[in-house]
Amino acid sequence: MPEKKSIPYIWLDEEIDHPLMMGEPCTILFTESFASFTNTVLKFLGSGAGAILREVGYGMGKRYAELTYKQFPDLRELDIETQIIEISSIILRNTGWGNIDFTNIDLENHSVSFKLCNHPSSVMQREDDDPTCHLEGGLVSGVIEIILGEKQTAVDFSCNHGSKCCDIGIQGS
Amino acid sequence: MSLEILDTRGDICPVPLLKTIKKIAAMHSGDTLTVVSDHPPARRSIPMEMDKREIEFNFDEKGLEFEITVNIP
Repeated sequence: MPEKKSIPYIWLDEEIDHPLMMGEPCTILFTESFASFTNTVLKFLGSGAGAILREVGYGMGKRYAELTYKQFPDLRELDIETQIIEISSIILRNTGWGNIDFTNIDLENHSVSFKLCNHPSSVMQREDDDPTCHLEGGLVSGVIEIILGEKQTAVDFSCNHGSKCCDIGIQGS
Repeated sequence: MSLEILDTRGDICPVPLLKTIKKIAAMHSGDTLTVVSDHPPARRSIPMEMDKREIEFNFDEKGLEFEITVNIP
């Protein structure tokens, strides 16, 4: 069996017998369970659920970024573009929120766009072309807000129906 | 001039990149550093950072692992 890599910022606190992520108590759940949760919220609340999910993701993203800086303070010495790529990649890939590939980072116009693949919302069985990746889009906007220090909004969602990838745009204010 | 090897196998982001930057800062002009990694995102992040710093490097695939050899300017 190949040697498995450990994630350096998720560990078990033996004193309280609970997992910690970057020193904070965390809850680990199956991707399928999250997809089921999102599916149910969208089904019962309709389009309004998107705003709720984006807001939840946004808060998560901000917290993730703050804790990532706390754990790896040297990241602040990298240039802003590298920080965006590194911190977003760390958070999304290593915590199971998907693989992110930035297609455009335009700091002058406060605009960022990226392709997100294999994220939890992509495992949902969709019956229409409505976007489902609200939480993940909100999450990245929260991460970028902490890096740039200005309000960010996930504004442009495009689902590539049938694939495991979504295109998302974020605009700063 | 020295030749050093930085083995980051088993490390995941952002550790390979941060270790590489720290190591380079401690080396001198003319030195050579070979970074060994098996973390896919580092294939992109380390070369990108070297490009930004205008530092020449060679990239070698070694199966699932790869080596980035950096010439300190």
